[in-house]
Formats: sequence, structure tokens, C-alpha cells
Amino acid sequence: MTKNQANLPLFIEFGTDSWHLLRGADGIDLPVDRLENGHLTTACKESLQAALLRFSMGPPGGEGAVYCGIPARGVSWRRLILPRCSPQDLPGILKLQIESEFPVHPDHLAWGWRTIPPTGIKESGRSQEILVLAIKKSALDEFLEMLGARPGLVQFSLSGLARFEMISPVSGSCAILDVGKHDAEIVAFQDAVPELIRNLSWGSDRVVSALQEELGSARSEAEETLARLAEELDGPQAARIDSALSKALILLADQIRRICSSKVIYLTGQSSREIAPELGQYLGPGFECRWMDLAMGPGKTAATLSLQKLEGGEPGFISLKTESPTPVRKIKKTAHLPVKWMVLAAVLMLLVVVLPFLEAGLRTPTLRRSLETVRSKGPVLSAIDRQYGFLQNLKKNQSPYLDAIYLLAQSAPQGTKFESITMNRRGDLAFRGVMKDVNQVAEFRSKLIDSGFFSTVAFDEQTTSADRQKITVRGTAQWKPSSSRKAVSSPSPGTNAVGTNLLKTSAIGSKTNQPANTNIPATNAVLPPVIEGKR
Amino acid sequence: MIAKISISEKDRKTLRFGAIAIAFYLALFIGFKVYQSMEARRKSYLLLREEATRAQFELQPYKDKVLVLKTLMESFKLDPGKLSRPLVVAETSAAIQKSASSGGVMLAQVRETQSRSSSGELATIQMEGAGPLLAVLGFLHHLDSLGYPLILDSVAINSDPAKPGTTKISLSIILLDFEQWKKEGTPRA
Repeated sequence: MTKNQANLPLFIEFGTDSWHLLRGADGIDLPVDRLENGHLTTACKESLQAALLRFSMGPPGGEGAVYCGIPARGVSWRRLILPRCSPQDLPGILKLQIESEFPVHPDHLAWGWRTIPPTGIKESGRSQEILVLAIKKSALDEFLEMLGARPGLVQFSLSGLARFEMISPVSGSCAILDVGKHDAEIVAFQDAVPELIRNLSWGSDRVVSALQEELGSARSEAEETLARLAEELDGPQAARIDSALSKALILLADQIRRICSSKVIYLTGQSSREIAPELGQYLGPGFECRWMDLAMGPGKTAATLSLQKLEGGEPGFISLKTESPTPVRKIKKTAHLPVKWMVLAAVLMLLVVVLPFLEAGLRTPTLRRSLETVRSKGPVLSAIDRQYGFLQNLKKNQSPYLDAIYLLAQSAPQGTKFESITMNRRGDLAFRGVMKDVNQVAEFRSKLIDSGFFSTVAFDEQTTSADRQKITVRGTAQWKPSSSRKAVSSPSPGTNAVGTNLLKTSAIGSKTNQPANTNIPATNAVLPPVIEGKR
Repeated sequence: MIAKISISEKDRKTLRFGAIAIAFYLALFIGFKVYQSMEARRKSYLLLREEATRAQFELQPYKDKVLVLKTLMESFKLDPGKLSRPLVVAETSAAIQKSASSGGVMLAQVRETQSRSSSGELATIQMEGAGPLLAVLGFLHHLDSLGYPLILDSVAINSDPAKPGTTKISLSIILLDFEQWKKEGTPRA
């Protein structure tokens, strides 16, 4: 390979059993050794890397583009019906659709699409059908690591889809069966649109094993026999070979019949030339198996040749994008951000921060003025306090002299004569009077006690006159504190109850009943209600 | 003549970074100072508001106090603020005598005794008189509303055997000192 050839694009088919590299007219087939989990063994990796370096004369994707075909294992595909839109908007819409259809986020997928032509598909004028392929990016990491190339320079597609290019143009229904050593891959097309992609657990190794078993020969001999199947074989060996082929191919034919309705099947891959005619027989009448007669050589497989033919530019090619969404999309996404609401939220947040400071700035002068006004009224408040306290004290020290006289008058029996009444503000009451008999004295005492006004009532002296017509009494009483004494029942306003009763029942210094003097105000009636209750 | 200085791209970049750093520092410094000043003002406002709330709380009872005070002043017909200490004893004595004579009570003897200033009392007035019973009672009733801070310390009512229908009365009246109350604000009487 020359330096000029190193700038040519590189086409690789990553098969399960082998990798095929093609650049220009040069190619190489590299066998692959895998672990049970499907990953490459370390030794295989090293040998592959060395071979790749040798073949590419440097990192495989270092200078030119790399087009890769990968097996269908691990690839998901969907046919999506989407509303018609401009080609610029389609990737965005597809991404949203993929996000809802696939279990993995589109950013973690390598995915590609192609529009299915309107003919032969369910489609209305306002919708379009899209075929989408997707594979986890992590599944491609192994290939990228081996290539040592920048992801942007490497394009992946399905080998199965690419192979169709080798039989194009073909209309109607057909399928391509690629036979590998341990497995096979079948892709069915309807009018060039892929309808089915399956991996079959059948490989050319099955035929070799069957021949080995039937002929009782070594494996290498069985492989040679398989290579000579295309030639005419005669004799008893031919019958045994037929039997061996029958055992192996019936299994394959059964699998194909179950999943594929296409009657025309193109075969490619290992030993496909040899088994194609036999497989047609086992598939049954109506089925036709055609071997894809390609100019084979190192690195030249149906897939690599197709990739070379397409070079990623043809409509049938689906490139799996391995890069993150482009910045243009990001800008487009931010354009849909609710900028108006964000600005509003920012303004509100700013107000929340600034308002306390604004309030402080605006309200401080008013508040200061109000406080100064209140402070200036301090002396007034102090005067109110003093006057209030003084008058309360004055009220507290007002003694109920008239109430006491009123009660004496109410309680005294008819004909009683009081000679003297003495009272002081400590509540001491002393009286001296004349009553008719002892009964009147007792009645007077009980009435004074029942009034609830006095705490104690005592008659210190009771002297009966010589003619036993009157009793001179001298008594003392103590009225209760204002908080505990019973309120004196208020006489009706306008009447001089105290004076009238005192005059009716008895007269101080006179027995004569005098008419009431209406100029004397009633004890309680003239007092304001606030004070009345406490008297 | 101005010398032309050539600045390399690296120096230009350094200068640009320096300018940005200084601008950033200044913005932070000034912003912090402004914030500090505003925060101090806000704290002062909060203190002021707290003081105003306290003042409002203290003022609240005065609404009721004023109402009660007004009622008391009306009932006693007394405005303590208008009392004149040098004249109040004479005025009170005159008012009592006037009230007695207008009510029909003839006062015979009036004695005024100056009280000790520390007791909160201005003077003690003792008086004796005579008159019809109803006139005496009316006189007692009107004593409260004469418009002076009077406390009736003791009352003695006696019959007059010499004059039937006439009652003798003997009173001891204490005149409170508002000036003294102003100074001390404690009840004495």
C-alpha cells in the first residue's frame, strides 16, 4: 500500500467471526477470537491492532474517513410515522420520538434514519414513515477503541442493509442471507425497504461438522469436501454428503421459513456458493436461492464492497451518529426556553432581595417623625398618669356616709329617735338613740346585719327608762371595705330617700315627721354610674 | 514625542486578564460596601420599628385611662391641673361655707389646720354648724362635687335639744395636695 492509498477511505465489516478491511483495491481479512461474553480476547485485540496498524500505515482513521458495517446484534430498529416537516426540523422531532420509543436516552445512543419512500407504505399526505436504527454508544466503543480514530470520522451502518446495494436495483420481495462461521444474518426487503433483520444461530460450521460426522473424516477433510460441493460428486460418498447436507440445511431452512416470507434469497458469506443450490431444495418449491457472485478477495465481502460503492452518500445508507447533538441543536433548544418567565422570576427575586432595603429607606423618616411626636407627648402622658392616680385615690377615699345614714333610716323601726350619729372614714359608726322596746332593738339589729353593708353591729348599752316606755340604746358598727360590701339599693331618682326615710322613721333630735325636702339629691341616683358601683 | 510601544499578544492577554480581575475585585469591593451600608440602615430601621411597636403598646391603655379620667373629673367637677396651691385652702373653705349657707346650714365655727407636707395633705378643715336635717344631708352630698380634692374624715350629727328640728353637725375635712402628688405620685391619704 502506498502513502496515497493511505488517504483513501477505509471500509470495514465487523463480523462476528472475522473483520474485513478494504481500502482502494487492497484488503485484509482478520480472524476474531471472542470470549464467552462476546468481547474480544486480549491477545486478539493486540493482534488486531497490530494488523490494523500495518494495513493502514498508522491509525486507521487518522487521515481518511472510515466506513464501518456492524452486525445486527444489539441494533434496535423502528418504523416511525411522523408528521411531515422540513428536513431541518426532522432530526429534532426524531430525537423526541426516539426518547419516547426507546428505553435509552438518545444522547446515549448512536442512531440514524432514512425516510421510507411513499410507495408501498401506509402513509397519508400529512405524514411520513421513517426507519430508525439505534444502538448503544457503548456497543461501538470497542470498535472505536480498536480503530483509535476520532468518532466524528467514523461512520457506522448495518452491514445487512449495506449488502442490498450489491443486488440493487431489485423490486418486490427478497432477502439477503449472510452466512458466517458460527451464525448467519438475514435481512428481508420489500421494494428495497428493509422489513426484517434477524440473526440466525446457524453457521457454515454446522455443515462442516455434519460432513465430518457422516464421512468420519478429519475436520480439514470435511472443510475440503465442503469447498468441492459445487463440483459434481458421484458414488457412495455423494449420498453420504447429501445426507450430511440434509441434516445441516434442514435446520437453516426451517428457521428461514418461520421468519421470512420472501421467496428470493440471495446468499453471501462463507460457503454460500456451495450451499445455495441445496438450501433452495430444502426450502421447498417456490423458493429460489441465488448466490451473490462477487469479485471476492481479501477484505472484499458483500458488505465492504457495498460500503465502498455507497461511501455513505446514497439514500439507502443509514449512518449511525456517534457524536452528541450538534451545538446548533442546543442553541435551538435554548431558543425555546421560557425567557419571559425567567426574566419575570429574576425580577421577582431581585425585588425580594431589594424590597427590605427599600422599605427601610422609605419608611425610616416617617417612623422617626411619628416616634418624635410620641416622645414629645411624654409630659402629657405623665400628667394624665398623675391626674388619673390622684383622682382614683380621691375616689377610693370617699366614704359612704350617706349610704350608712340611709341604711340606718331604712332599718330603724317606726318611732325611733336618734340623738347622735358619728362616723369616720375608717368605717366606724357610733350612734345613740331611743326605741320603744327590746323587740324594736332586735329588729333594728337584724336589719342592719341583713343589709350586708356592715361587718359588725354591736349595741354597747341598752337602758330601759323608769316608766319602761322606752329604751335608750348606744351602738357601734363597722362597715365593710368597698370591695366586699353589698351595694346599697338605689332609691328611685328624684326622691330624697335618705332624708324622707330618716324623717319618716325617726328624726334626729325630733319625733316630728317633717315633709321631704325635694332639694336634697338622692344618694346614689345623682352619682355617675362608674362610681356608683364602687360606693 | 510619544514613543510607540509595541505590545505582544501575550502581554495584551495578560493586561486584559488583569483589567478583568481588577474590575471584578472593584465590583465585589464596592458591592460589599454598599451592601454593608444598606444592611446597617435596615438594622437601624428594624430597631426603630421595634421601638415604635413598643410605644404603640404603651400608648394603648391611655385611651381607657383618658375616658375614666374624664368621668372622674366630671363626677368630682375637678381638674387637678388647674388647682393653685397657695389659694386652694382659702378657696375650698370659702366654697364649703358658701355651699353650707346656700343649703341652709349655719356654720358656727371653722378651723383650718396646715398639714405636714410629707403626708400628701394640704390642710385639715374642721367645722361645726347647725341646720335642718335635710339641709345637713344635702350639704354632705354636695361636698364631693365642690370642685376641690376633699376627703370627709369624720362626721358627727347630733340633735340640738335646745332647738327642736335643728341638727348639729361637726365635720373634719382633709384637703389633698396635688402638688405633693405630682412630686411623689404615691397615695398618702
